[in-house]
Amino acid sequence: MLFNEQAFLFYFLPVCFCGFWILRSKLRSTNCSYFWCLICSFFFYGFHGWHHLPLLICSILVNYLLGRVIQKEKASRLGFFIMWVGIALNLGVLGVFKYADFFLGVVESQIHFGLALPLAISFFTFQQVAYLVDLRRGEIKPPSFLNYAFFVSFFPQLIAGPIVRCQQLIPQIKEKATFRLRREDFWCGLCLFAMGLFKKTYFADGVRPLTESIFDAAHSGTILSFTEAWIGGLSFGMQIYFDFSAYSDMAIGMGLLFGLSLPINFNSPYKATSLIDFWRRWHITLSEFLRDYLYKPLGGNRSGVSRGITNVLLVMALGGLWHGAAWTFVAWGIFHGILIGFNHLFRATGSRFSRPKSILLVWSSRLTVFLVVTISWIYFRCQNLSTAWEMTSSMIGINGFDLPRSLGLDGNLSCVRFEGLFPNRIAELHLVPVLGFLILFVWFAPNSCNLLKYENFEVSKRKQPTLPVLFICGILLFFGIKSSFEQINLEFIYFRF
Amino acid sequence: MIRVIITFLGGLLIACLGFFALLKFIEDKPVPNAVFSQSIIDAKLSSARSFASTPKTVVVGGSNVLFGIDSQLLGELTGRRVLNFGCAAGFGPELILHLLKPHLHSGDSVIMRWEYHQYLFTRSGTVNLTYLNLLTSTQNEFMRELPIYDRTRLCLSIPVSLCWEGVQTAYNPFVDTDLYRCSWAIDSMGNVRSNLGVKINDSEMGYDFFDPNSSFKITTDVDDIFSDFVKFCRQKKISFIVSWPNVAFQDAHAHPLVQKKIENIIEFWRDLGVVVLGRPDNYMFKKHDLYDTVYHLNQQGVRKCTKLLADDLADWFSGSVGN
Repeated sequence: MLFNEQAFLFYFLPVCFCGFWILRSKLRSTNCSYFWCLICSFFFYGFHGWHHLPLLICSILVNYLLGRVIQKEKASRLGFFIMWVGIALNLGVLGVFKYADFFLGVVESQIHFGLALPLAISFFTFQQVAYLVDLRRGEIKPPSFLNYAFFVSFFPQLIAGPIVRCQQLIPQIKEKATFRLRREDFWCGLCLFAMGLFKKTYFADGVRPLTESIFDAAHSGTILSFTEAWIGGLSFGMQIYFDFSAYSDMAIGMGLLFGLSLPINFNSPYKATSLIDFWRRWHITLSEFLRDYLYKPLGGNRSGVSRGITNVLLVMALGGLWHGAAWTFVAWGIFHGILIGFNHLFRATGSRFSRPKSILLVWSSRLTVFLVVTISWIYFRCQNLSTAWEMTSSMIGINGFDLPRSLGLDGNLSCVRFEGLFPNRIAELHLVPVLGFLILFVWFAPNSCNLLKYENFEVSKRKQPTLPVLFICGILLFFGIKSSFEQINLEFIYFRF
Repeated sequence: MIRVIITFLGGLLIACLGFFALLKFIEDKPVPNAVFSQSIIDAKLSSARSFASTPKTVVVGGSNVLFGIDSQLLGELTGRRVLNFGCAAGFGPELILHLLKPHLHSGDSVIMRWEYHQYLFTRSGTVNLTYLNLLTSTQNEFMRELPIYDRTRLCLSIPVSLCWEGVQTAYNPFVDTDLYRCSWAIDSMGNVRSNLGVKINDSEMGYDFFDPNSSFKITTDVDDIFSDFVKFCRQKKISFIVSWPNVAFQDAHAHPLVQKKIENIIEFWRDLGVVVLGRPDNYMFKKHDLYDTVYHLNQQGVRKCTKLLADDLADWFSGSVGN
């Protein structure tokens, strides 16, 4: 069940939402309403494949029990040991389902498990690892089992994040809850949901055919021209941007409909002026997880710049691998790791470019980051490294430049050909102007959370959207819902992870 | 609070009105695919008009008929005037029958040969783009006759990109829209004559219906559509019969699960009081008889298929079976 599917929009969400608030207002019981939401979340998860539901339930049960033991043995070494057992168990399950075949392939083993990847396993594994570590650190206390199960499986964030931490959600659940939905939360949530739905169905899925036609051509061995490769990179860059941005908006919006604030996971990353800045804006909760539970325990940059850069490289490579069991993801992670390392070095020099202030510097930095990230997406999207390298070669001019025929001189020069910007008969080129519009949109349009004045967990600051915003969101919601009637319902990219 | 609700609903309403205005605007702006489909319909209607007098025999279906039956040869073999009214599977049975009905008169005979997947047709569920393209533009009149529920669902399932494509096609100064018309050579009796040689690959020979694991349930929409047509024929005293579509040879046709699906079809027609002639495997052809898809035959295959159909029809025409 996808967020943009009729079954979700017309049946699941209204039933879950109404049941939740009816139980809360009529029975004056938060437990009943959260229990209802938990059942709905299990149903939501099971709808994608019932055979993996027991895994989710077992994972919740085992981690909860381990958490109780860690809390009980807080003062002793046993607690420390149990925490590591928990981490090993979680990563072990993730490893078996997600990485076993990959590593067996690396060692050229004849054995292949061929296990289907349980939906959202990467997300709920990380969420629970963070829970166990935070418990051991004494940052949180174990919640009730119901609250814990709800925290892990709450359906808006279950499939593709944000990776919510216990200390972010449980206090909201435990808070002396209001027995009716705050008006500001409802409208803000509905508007965010509408914006997300529109972004997913029209922007992300809108450029998808262009992405697919170019990447399919590359996979079939076509050597792309300079322009084609860049159009491919930009179109996937836009597709994943709007796909993830849409999912994040919808998740936060649905959280608000249930009276809960989820952390902002996406903050206009293409407006970033450095790679470090980019990772503070893209998949924010994953970056924070990697920083707090991997980078810092590895020593961070406390032992000098070079050690810090090594740690960044390691963390980013693992972060890449987290996205999928393939060398392309590792390469993507390392690529970002290297660039973040350079960014740190650059900052260490104290250059004025490292913290741009003038508009010219800001825009040149923004453009550089955008282009570098666009190149990196090639590794994220391609199925193998050789295709990714061929595309990168085209993007950086190693495969020559193709210019319009109208500029043609007599014959082709060594690295310049006059056979048109798109010599490979790429389909869906009519979407190129849309791509231009989307690039301008990501740079100049306001961020949806800013527009709705949504700030992490700042309930008191939350305001009802203005009338023009509500009117526009009404329009967006119509077109979002309308798209659910179309025959194409495409999954969110991050659902795969 | 009231102002907030009204504003939000106002946005919804404006979007709704805007979308339906857009649909109205593109009514006369068919996309290339609709221009192609409509040109097939034009050719079929032109043939049907030239067969105005009664009695005549009409073979109707999707493109398995268009690329499967030679109405001239069938006429010679059976001694009747035969019209090939095979269109394209993507049009769906309801539109094809809607187009045919005005040309049927008392005393005519109809032979229906529907592709297997036509039995899964839904008016507004899983709708293919060919059908939608036609309904938004050249066959808009037909859409207006559909039940309001289906019409609304169909309208909502029209992608905005389709509207944009229609506008682009209509206003592109560099391309003559006629370029998109179907280039198949269709003769005055409705037969394709340009299906020469073999263009199908081995990988394209499979057909989902013959996969034992694929599900098959005749839809209620199909039940409605064919029940109505049967009623129409009985009222007009038009005789009709069902035959099997031509398709590439399928090894799995004898599998019990596939046989069960075939029995479902026979039973469906039996419940409507219609006889089904022959067996599906009679109309399965080897690669050398196929043209470019799993149910398109080349000229050699067409001749074989037509003779098989003529043999099957002999008893019906003599009055020993059927309506």
